[in-house]
Amino acid sequence: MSGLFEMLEAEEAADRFGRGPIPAAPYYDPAWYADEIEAIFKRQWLHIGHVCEIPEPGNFIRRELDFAAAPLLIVRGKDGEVRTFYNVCTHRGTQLTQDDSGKRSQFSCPYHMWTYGTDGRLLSAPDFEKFHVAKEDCSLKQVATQVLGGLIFIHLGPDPAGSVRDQFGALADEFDKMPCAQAIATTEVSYEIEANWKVHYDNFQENYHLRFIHARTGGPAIGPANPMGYPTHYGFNGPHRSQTLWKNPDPPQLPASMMLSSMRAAALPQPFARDFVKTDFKLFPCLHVVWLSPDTMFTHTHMPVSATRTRSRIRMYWASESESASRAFAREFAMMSLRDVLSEDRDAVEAAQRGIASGVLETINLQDHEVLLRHSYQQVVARVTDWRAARARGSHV
Amino acid sequence: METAAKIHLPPQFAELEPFVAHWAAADPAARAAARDTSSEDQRRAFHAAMSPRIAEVLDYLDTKALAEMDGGEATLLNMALAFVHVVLAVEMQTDAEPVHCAMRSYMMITAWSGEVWNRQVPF
Repeated sequence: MSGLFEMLEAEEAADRFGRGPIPAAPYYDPAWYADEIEAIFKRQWLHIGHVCEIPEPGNFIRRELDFAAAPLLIVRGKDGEVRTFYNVCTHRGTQLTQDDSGKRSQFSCPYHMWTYGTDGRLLSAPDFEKFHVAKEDCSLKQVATQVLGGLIFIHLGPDPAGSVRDQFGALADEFDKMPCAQAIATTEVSYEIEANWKVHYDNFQENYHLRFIHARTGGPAIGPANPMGYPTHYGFNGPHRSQTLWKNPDPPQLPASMMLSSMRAAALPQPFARDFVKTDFKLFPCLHVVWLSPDTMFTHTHMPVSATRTRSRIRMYWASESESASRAFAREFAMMSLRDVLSEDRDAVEAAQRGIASGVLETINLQDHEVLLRHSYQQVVARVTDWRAARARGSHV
Repeated sequence: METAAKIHLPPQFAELEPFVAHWAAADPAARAAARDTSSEDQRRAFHAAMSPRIAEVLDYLDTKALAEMDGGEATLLNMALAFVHVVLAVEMQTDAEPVHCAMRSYMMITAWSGEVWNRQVPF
């Protein structure tokens, strides 16, 4: 991890990124949010799925990106390529399907039967000669799509300046080594939360709420030598962040069946044991990538719905079918433990949002160990500021 | 096809049969729902019955290929997986389980790996 990020202690990081309060408005103001969508979410590669969801030609998944009012179809073509189209017939705009997923050799609009191939080309349309347009000009509108480590990313911009690998720089190669790169299945938890995407993402960028919010599940993360469970180092790589968790020398003993579950998992053959590096990527803008143990890796993706609402998906990636009862047991335990822990944050995060959105506070306070939140905020501000300046010059797209 | 009423657990685990009806649910969302809809007494009784047997249950099931499990073995595996959910409730959340259940209910389990042992078992 140290080679990928510049690792700093809290004080060093504060020297670098600053101290003191930050403005509260960006965490609820609809005008600021609207500019974030333009400045960030329409200008970044965004994680939207995994190739194992569309394993065969003709498989598709449907995704709605509320922040851009973008209804998307992600399709594996007959040629094996993964493409993303707007779920919008080029005749008069009718959505081609409402199915969440499926398999089709072609997509026919239910309204007037315009029919498209899995590559988005218009194949046929009744009485097409009466439209006086060229078929090749009537393909489904396409969205830039790239795959990294099995993860599907889309870019809503008209002409992405760089690839998804460019966006993640040196971190991109790490995706190829993780279970997601070979995953044949995922376990997924989906939810919406009444919180600005930053308020919600920030919850996963500091650790000292564990003591209070995760009093039952967070025990191993704190101890007498570190009662707040602060990470030892914070990592920075361009707009992306990481942290090194403190290792508790004397963790509390787990209850009996929890211990058994943990030991069962540890005793199984671990397909990624040699490559395993404990990983905690907090990627800009909204993707958290965690590799907890050789067989346990997840992504947690946050997509804005409005200035005060976010839709998130947690996906755990499995590089093979379970080969034994103990493997199935270990995986159920890994995913349900994670769901249990992440469920505990909900009330606190929503209460924070309600308080901030009341407008009572002009600023919010961050301590040195909240430097990842500060860094995240600074990355957002830089892009919104640039966007606003471009708009003022009339040079924004 | 066997029906749920006719399924019997492997004989050495017959004492667990009273728990089949509520806990032997055939996917992770259904097992999570079994936790959510259970009473504290139901969870404690299942936890007390399974805890001393779970290592033995897994050792036994590990001798079987998942895709070739019969109805009783698949049912036993589904109960072992439901036990994961109950362990989290009884050993981790303890008295916070009702509050946690309310927060957890928003976290919908929306996709999972195909469970080959459940393809033959009607529920």
